[in-house]
Amino acid sequence: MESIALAFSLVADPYVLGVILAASLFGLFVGAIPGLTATMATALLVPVTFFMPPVPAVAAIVSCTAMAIFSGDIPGALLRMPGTPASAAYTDEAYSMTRKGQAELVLGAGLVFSAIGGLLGTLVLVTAAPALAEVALNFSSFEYFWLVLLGLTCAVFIASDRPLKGFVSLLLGLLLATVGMNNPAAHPRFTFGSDNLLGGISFIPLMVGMFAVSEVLRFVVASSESRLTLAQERFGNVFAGQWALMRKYPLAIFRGSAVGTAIGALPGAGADIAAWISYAISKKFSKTPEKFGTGHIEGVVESGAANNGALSGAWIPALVFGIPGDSITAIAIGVLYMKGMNPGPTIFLNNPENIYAVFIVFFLANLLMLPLGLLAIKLYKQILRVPRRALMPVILAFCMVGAFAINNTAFDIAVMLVAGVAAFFMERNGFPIAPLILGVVLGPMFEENFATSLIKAEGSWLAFFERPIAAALGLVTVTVWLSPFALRILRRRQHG
Amino acid sequence: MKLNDGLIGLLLIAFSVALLVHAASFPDMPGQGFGPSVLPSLVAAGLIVCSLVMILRALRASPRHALVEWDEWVSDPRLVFAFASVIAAVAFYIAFSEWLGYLIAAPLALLVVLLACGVRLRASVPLALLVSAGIHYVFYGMLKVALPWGLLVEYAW
Repeated sequence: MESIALAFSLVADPYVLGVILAASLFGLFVGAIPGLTATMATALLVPVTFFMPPVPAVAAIVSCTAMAIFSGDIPGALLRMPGTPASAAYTDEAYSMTRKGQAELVLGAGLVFSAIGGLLGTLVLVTAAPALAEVALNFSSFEYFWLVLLGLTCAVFIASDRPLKGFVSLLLGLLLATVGMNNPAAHPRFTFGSDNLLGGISFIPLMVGMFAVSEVLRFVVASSESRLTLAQERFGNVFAGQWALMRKYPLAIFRGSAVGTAIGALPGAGADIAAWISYAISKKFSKTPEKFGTGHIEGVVESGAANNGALSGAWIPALVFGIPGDSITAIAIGVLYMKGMNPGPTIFLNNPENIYAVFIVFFLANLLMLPLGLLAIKLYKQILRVPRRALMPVILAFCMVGAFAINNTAFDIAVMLVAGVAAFFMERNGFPIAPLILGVVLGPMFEENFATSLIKAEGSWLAFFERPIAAALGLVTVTVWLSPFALRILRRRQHG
Repeated sequence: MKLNDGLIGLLLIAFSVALLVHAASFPDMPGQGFGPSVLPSLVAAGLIVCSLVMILRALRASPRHALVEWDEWVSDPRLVFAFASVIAAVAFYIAFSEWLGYLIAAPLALLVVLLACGVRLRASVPLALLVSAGIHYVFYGMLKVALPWGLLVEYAW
């Protein structure tokens, strides 16, 4: 109880509230501009949060991403271009509604049900995370070994549509994580005599390069900036009719939030995948599936709730186990470590007030979304006036200084540049970036728990299955590995 | 630029073999039969398996994909130049920011990138100066990041 009161006072600090407001406005802006993603917003924000105390640092990330995922809906409805990948699932639907003269209804639904999805997801986070942490307190290196392996497996099988290339990305990420002396024997690996690499490849410059610099490069080669014409410029009351929607589709809202939160909690699968799956579920269970795709609100309601639910869900494994639920929490985990708020079950014992403060920020951000989101919709014409060809160079300049700021070394800017060019070519060749980031974050944890377990097991592989939870986790992991082969055999039997 | 998956597979296999050889030189942990070479070797093995599958799929694909597919932008000299100048601008900043100082190197780099993105010179010059100064104010002034002064060290505040 005492720590909850303390948490409220942490958040009520004018500095923290100011940070939340500023990060929210930044998130709304970035999300509303096609081509700039919520992950990019986080990557750009991190060099600044580096210099803040833990609570405002995490608060900035939480509020910025929540806003960005909502505001990605705006260009979807008005330009037929998703502002962030999380809105892509229902962009066509939303645009069709705008063409039918229902822009207010669809924008309002995006806003209201994003907030509701975020709030319900947060409720799950607040109740599930401490309970899971209780269980996780008894975990040994065996459980963690399987858990990390399961996380890595999910990232490949569930989170990417091309598991093979996703797996290659993941392996490259694991390899990047091995650079430096941070290994059980403290042997300098792949440093090639460079002192700069002894401490490993700095995570933040890598992130900034992969998510922001690559985007700038993509913009530079996209032949010409197409003129963006808004389907509608002035809006009436966007909240009109939302109450009726809520009464009409209570199940869809609940299902979207729940499915979104669950998918968010799976390592590697984030808001974009949650939205696609929820849209498909909504269509499948709808009483009027034939209306989907013609400008029908139902799917927008459900998947709009799902992508914001996923944001909260992703924090469950991130906080309890240090295993990120998506690329955003992967970056956030890096921030938590830098701030000495090491994720893991003990985070609820050592500094509970910080965690409760983060929970409060989640609620606050999703409530703040309503007035600020309304503002973003009303001002959208002005937001779009900012020319992207001037914005992208500014982002790049910001990236350079941000990458430098973490360790005060120009070497990190080089890391950023190489990562940016690499990500540019990887994406072009169909290699997803998210598994690589997961590999980098989980690599050290995987190696440490693997080494500890091997020593404890004294050469017996059975030891990895001796503890009940470890055995269950191991079994699930192996099953997921074998599932593609099993499916193939099944399919062949059916055809044969 | 899109490389054929088979070609990527071959490159990855060559890389993995080099990785295996290099990792074999890592010492084991004292008293244990394993050490820092385990994870890199596992990664190399995984990469080889994935690469073999990629090569196999590329050989079976019909119609075969070209070894290298060039993107549209590669045939537009203006865009190739823009792409190269963005990378060159960042490389320039990495190489010379320490010596020139942030306040000289950053506006120059930013100017090149602005021009590469198609902003007119008349707008680029003031924008480069203003944005560089703004970022300096935030990172040096507010966040206390030690941005280099270089040639301007006498005027440092």
